Formats: sequence, structure tokens, C-alpha cells
Amino acid sequence: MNHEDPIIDPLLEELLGQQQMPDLTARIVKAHQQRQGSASSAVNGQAKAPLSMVAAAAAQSSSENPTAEVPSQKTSSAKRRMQRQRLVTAIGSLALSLCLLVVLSGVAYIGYQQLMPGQGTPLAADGDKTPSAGARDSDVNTDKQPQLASSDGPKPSDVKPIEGMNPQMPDEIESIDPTALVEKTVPRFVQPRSRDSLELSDDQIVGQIDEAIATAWKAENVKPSPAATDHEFVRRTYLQLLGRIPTVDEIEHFVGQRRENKREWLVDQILSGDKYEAEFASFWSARFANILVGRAGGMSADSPIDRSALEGYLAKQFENNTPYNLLVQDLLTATGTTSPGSENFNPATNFLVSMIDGDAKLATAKTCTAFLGQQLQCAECHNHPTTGWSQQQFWGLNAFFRQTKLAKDRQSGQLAILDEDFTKSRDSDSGEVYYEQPNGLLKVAYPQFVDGTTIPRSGKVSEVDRRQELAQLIVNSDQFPKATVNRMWQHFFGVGFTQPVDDMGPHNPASHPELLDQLSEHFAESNFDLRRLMRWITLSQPYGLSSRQIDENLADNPDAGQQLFARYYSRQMEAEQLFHSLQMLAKSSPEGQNAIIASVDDRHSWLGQVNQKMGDDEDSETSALDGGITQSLLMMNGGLMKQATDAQAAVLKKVTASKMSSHDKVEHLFLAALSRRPSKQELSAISEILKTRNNEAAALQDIWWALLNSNEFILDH
Amino acid sequence: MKDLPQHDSPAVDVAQLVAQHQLSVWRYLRSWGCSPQEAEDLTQETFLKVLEKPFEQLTDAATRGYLRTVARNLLIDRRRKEGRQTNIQAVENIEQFWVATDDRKPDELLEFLTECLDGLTERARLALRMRFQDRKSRSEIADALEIGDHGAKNLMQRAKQQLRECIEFKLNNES
Repeated sequence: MNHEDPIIDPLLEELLGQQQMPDLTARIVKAHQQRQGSASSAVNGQAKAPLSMVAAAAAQSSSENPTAEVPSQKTSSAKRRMQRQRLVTAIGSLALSLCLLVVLSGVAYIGYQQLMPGQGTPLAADGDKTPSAGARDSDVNTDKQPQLASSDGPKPSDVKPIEGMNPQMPDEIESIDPTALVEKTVPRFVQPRSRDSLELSDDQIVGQIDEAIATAWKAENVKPSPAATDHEFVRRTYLQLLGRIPTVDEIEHFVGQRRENKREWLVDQILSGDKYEAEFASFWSARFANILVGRAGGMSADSPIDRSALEGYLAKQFENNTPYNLLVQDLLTATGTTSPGSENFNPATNFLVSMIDGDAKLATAKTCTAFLGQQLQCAECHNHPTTGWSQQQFWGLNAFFRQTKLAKDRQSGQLAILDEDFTKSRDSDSGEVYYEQPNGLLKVAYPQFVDGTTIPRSGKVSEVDRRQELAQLIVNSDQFPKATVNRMWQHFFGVGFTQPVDDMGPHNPASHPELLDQLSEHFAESNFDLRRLMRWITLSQPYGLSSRQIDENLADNPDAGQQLFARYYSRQMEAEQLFHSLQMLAKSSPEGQNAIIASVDDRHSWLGQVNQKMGDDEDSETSALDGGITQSLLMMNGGLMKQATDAQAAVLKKVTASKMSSHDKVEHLFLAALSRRPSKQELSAISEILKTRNNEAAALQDIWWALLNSNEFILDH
Repeated sequence: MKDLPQHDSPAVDVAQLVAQHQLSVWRYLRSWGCSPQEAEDLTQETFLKVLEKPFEQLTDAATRGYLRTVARNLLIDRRRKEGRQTNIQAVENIEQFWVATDDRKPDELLEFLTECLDGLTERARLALRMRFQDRKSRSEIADALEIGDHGAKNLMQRAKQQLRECIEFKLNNES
């Protein structure tokens, strides 16, 4: 909630909204003790003191010692012993100071590198946290901040590259040489791009969309289908924004509204109301996890991806409405372990964890498709004949990922991602990548973004943090908001401005290039606000059209590559939408909540059956929800359908146990399943069925089953 | 080099220090726009930071002032690293407000607020309860009170202004 009054609002939230602070005393005392403990063990039992105090202590010892030497009774051996002690003290102080300097700089660097929104507490620049290097083999401190260094170990140059390593069986986490950490005040070479702030109102932007789409209709001589009915609109809006069909109450609440701008009201209820916040975040986290790691990523036991952690992280970002550019930068630069249970835990690492192995070729391709909407993967082996992508571009982009290393956390045994120097020879710091052309010639590539921008060639993490630079280059690029808008448009219309959405470029021109440019610019200027983008699209005229095709818009044929958005393209629900809808029909919502949010485990186990990785080198997937036999069997006999059509299922039980007339009961079931009332024809057919059956409850159960197995139910229209 | 006065000052009772001042720090951070969770994290960081170095407690007011300064610097540090901008108007007023609470027990503030709430009109109180207790949207409140969206906004803004003035008056005038 935004605060109008910085003092009164939080106080009212505390007093009335019960947003109170838990007692932090125990937590802070424990953290304080652990810090003290780990600090003292780091310096041989002496309490760790700030550098200034160490220096003060050293000065004090040197000023105290002469007074101790004054008595003349001292023997020469005692003097020698004293001198030795002084020497040892001086060396010890010097070593301690150096050690602390190293450690504090390391901590400052890691703090600088890893700080992104929503990830625990920051490390203050002057090193107020436990040092990450050399302090881990004693007590565990309470820092949530991912830190990746451990105690002494081989130098980076001695570390064997992990090429070919199986992600399921990684090596021990490699130690980072403290000297490498000392220099980690990495300069930034690519600066954040400053953009104008958005001056247009939402209405004006929606007007722009309508106008651009209408211009294309005129040019192609087509007419739009009539506007969708309220029942159609409410169904599709819940499906698109929350990933499930609306409940009967929600439908009636919306349809019964008398306000003029009721569609705007509905969209705002879902997008900005507190009521749907958790549900919204849950659906979109799953949706974006699909984009990032695929539907099958993290679904099998041997997958290195902790999907729950990734979705939990994404949900938090959606709940906070984190600007999309910051989210992407966070995902691209994450270091830490993938699962909870380690102090280095950073769920954002789950994006890259399965793609770093094998020279990060998958990471290169996925980053390009997910965030730039461009398919670069073919250029791994050859210059692309039609898209213009060259091998040099692929490997130039790949070089950004080569400091990234997959490893295993020594303490928790979990997979982790960390950055490490990537230098090919002892004589030079430059980390180059070699690749072979189809003619057998070996070529070299240095970090170079797809638009040709280069950064310094050094592979030393302390000099250039390549992933940091790449993340900034991506979010600075014009292609980043375009790819995002195109993908979001596809989510709401079933078809993007390009088909597929992740293959944009001159070889595949957008259907409405000017609109795409305008929307991308507005999206970037809105500070990459995904919710606003969703609002613009859902309030546009084409989104609110009926899905029925009319004679005047037969030319609108996305299957033939001619998408004019003169009607809403009806399509099958996505697996997640089907799952959430059936779950909602099967289970009653807990008291005080408007709808159930299915457990992540249930969802994963069901979706895991439906989607599977094909195991090819492009990380392709296959889905059983393809309209084939498996889908039919899943819908007719699957466990989820069984739950939803069981006599005890929430909706059915509510209807059969109610005192409604038979007509009302049937109408309720139609609304619950299809979000519309039955037609006269359907009603008369059903009344015939009810007449021939003795047991009304059993008859309604059969009708319910038939409704859920109808083509209309699974359709988003 | 001058020795730090660590041997002169009595050892700080960490638990007591935290118990006594944690709520003030947390509320202070909330007034700077932190979410409850973020304020918790930063409150913890603030105490850990303060306890890193020898620390002498003079008066409660001085301790609170010091804690607030550290908390504010940690927050600014964090925002800078996140690349986020937080726009807070009239920072001096926020600071003045918290300075005025320095010699009060944290619970007193909520007592004042409760008293000041009672001084509002029934409609204003209802609007605030709907907003903060029931988490209703502004348009839902407007519907319930049968006024426009802007009317609801103005009503709540005025009510909050009254609350602020009332609390400030109590802080400055009630012993």
C-alpha cells in the first residue's frame, strides 16, 4: 500500500491492520552473538575488532612495551624474549590488518555485486557483515545475503574448468582466492540508460492501441467482430490475469455492476486490489517460470532447478510489482545456492543453474529468446542463412557467461552459481572464447553484445563483471521492452505481433510494427511496469471483442500469419489455467478467502505429468495437452477431473445440497463451468434428462461431468 | 593514536537495548517507506551495526537518535545499491516527529493514535477502518459511503492530517 502520510499510514496499518513488528530481540541477540563468535574464531580466538581498533591496539602495545623494558634487573635472555615477542606482535598485527583488509574488501564486493531488491539484507559498504572468506568453517552467521567464498583453496587459475560436468553431480564449491576478492570493486562500464518518464495517461495509451489496430482493419478492409458479452469478458479476464475461470459469485458480481466502466473496474479489481494479490502473484510466477526454465524445468527429481524456490521468488517480485528490468537483471546476475538451507541461498539462481553446464551455450540461447525475443541458437554452429545472426554474435554473447561457474556448496551440499576469473593464459587477463567455424577454422570471440557493443576484455571478475554488464546491456536495449510487450500481447491474444514471439527480427516483421514500437516505449517509460502493460492490453478494444468470426473479418487469419486482432482468438486453456480452474471447482475456499490457491506441490506433480523435456540440445519440451488421446483420457478419467466431479467436490456439493430449484441448479452449474447461463435448447434437453432419472443428485453429477468435459469448458474464448 | 574508550563504558546489555528501542527503529524505517519485512531486516542490521563498535548509552533520546541515524544510512545504502529511488516529501517533518517521540514509550504513540481516532467524525473513522482494517479499495469505500472516489480520497486525507496534528499536539503538550 502506498503511503500518503509517511507517519500516519504505517501507524494506522499497525493499529488497525495488525501489521505489527514481531519481537526481534532474540533474533538480534543471536545474530550478534554469532557474528562475535565467527569473528573471534577468525583471528585465533581474539575478538575481531574494526581495523581502526587493531591499529590502535598495535600502537598501544608499542607504547606500553618500552615501559616494561625499563627495569634494569631484566636479564639479556629476558630482553631477547621481549624483543621476540615484540617482533611477533608487530608481524601478527600487520598480518591481521592485511587479513581483515582482504576480508572486508571481499565482503564489500559481494554486497555490491549481489544486492538486488527482495533479497535479504544488504552488506554495508564498509563491511559490517561477517567476512565471507575464511570465516565459514566455524559458526554459521545469520546473514541472508548470498556469499560464495569459503576458506583457503586453490587459486582460480588452478581450478579445473567445469566443462562437461553433469549438473546433477557437481564438484565441491571452489574457493575464491582472497586476493581476487580484494580487488573486487568492479567498475561498471555500461551505465543504466536514462529514459523519459511516461507522460500519457492509461486512457491515452489504450486509445493508441485501438487506433493502431483499427487502422490495420481499415487497410485490410475488415470489420471487427461485435464486443464480447460480459460473461465472455469476465471469463477471459480471470483466465488471463489470474489463471482460472471466475466463480459464480465473481461472475454475478461483475455482471450485476451498473457502472459505465465496469470492465475497467474489473481489471483494476484484479490488478490493484489486495484481494487477488497472492493469487495474481502465484499465477504469474508460474507463467514466468515457464518462460525462464520451461514448463518441465524443475519438475523431475533429477533436475538441478528448485522450481518452488524460483516460483516463490518470482511471486514475491510480482507481489511487489518489481520493475521488470530489475527482475531480469537480478536473474541474470544471481549468485548463490539454488535451494533454501544455506546462508548463500538465492532463488534467482534457478534461472541459470541448468544452463551453465556445457560452456553456457543454453544460457546464451535462452537469455536471447527470453529477454530479447531473438533466436540465436542456430548461430552456435554456423552463420544463420536468413536471420543474419553470425557465429561471432553467438559466441560474443556467450563470452559474457564464461565467468559463471556451477558448483556445489561445501556446507549444504546444494548446487550453487558463482563467478570466477575466466582467463585463458597466465600472461594475459583477457578471457577469450574459441569457436570453430564450419570450415574447421578456429576463431576467437570476446564479450560483445548482439548490437556490437563491447566491454573490456579482461576475464578477471575483479576488473569486469561480465554478467553485470550483460544484464545492463540487455535492459538498456530497445529490443528488451519490445520482446516483453510482444510476449505479453501473445499471452492475452494467443498470438503475438510476431509468430513465434521469440523469433523477432527483420526476417520476421511484426504485424503492427508501429504499435509495437509505441507500446514498448511506453512500457519502458512506465519503469517497466508489467501491471500497467497488462491494464493497457486488457482495456483495449480488440481484447474486448467477441471470439465469433464474422464474414467481414475472414481475412483475419493468424494461422496464415495474418493477425489483425479483429476478434478474440479462441484457444485451448493452458495447462496451468486448466489445473487452477479444476482445483477451484473441486475444493472449497478457506474462510475469508475468495478463491483457493492450489498448493505448489500439487500443481507441480500434475503439470509434471503433462509436460516433459525432450532431452534435445535446445531444451525442447513436449506437452500431453495437445488435443490428442492423452488429453482426452486425462480429462475424462484423470485424478484432477475425478476430484472436480466428485459428489463432495465444492461446487457440486453446494448445488446438490442447496434448496434451489432444478432450473437454478442447472443454471448454477453452467455458470460455474462455462461462465454463462444455459440456452433454452440446453435447458429443455437437460430437463428431459432430469425427468428420466430418479436420483437428481446423480443426474446433476453426470451433467456436471459432461460440462467439464465439453470443448467449451477447456476453451478460452 | 587515541585509544577508544571501550574499557570505560559498561558492557551494553544487548537484549535490553533491543527490547527498549526496536519498535522505534522499526517505525522510523516504516515512515521512510519500508515494508514491514524490510523494516524488520533493517532494524536487525541497525542494531548489529551499532553493536559492532564500543557503544556508550548516555540517554534514551541520544540512543534513539543514534539508532535512527544508523538506520537511515543503512536504508540509503540499500536503496542506492538497488538503484531505486524513494521520494519522500518533507523529510525534516518526519525527523522532527520522531525527535518529539524520543522521551516517550513506544506504546504511548498508539495510545495517542487511538485517542485521536476517537476525535474524528464517524464517517472518517469508518473510511479509515475500511481502508486499513478491512483493506478495502478506495472505490469500495466510496461505494459504501455513497460518495465519489475523490470524495473518499479527500475524506481520508483530511482525517490523516487531523490525526497527525492531534498526535503532534499530544506529543508536545501532554506529559
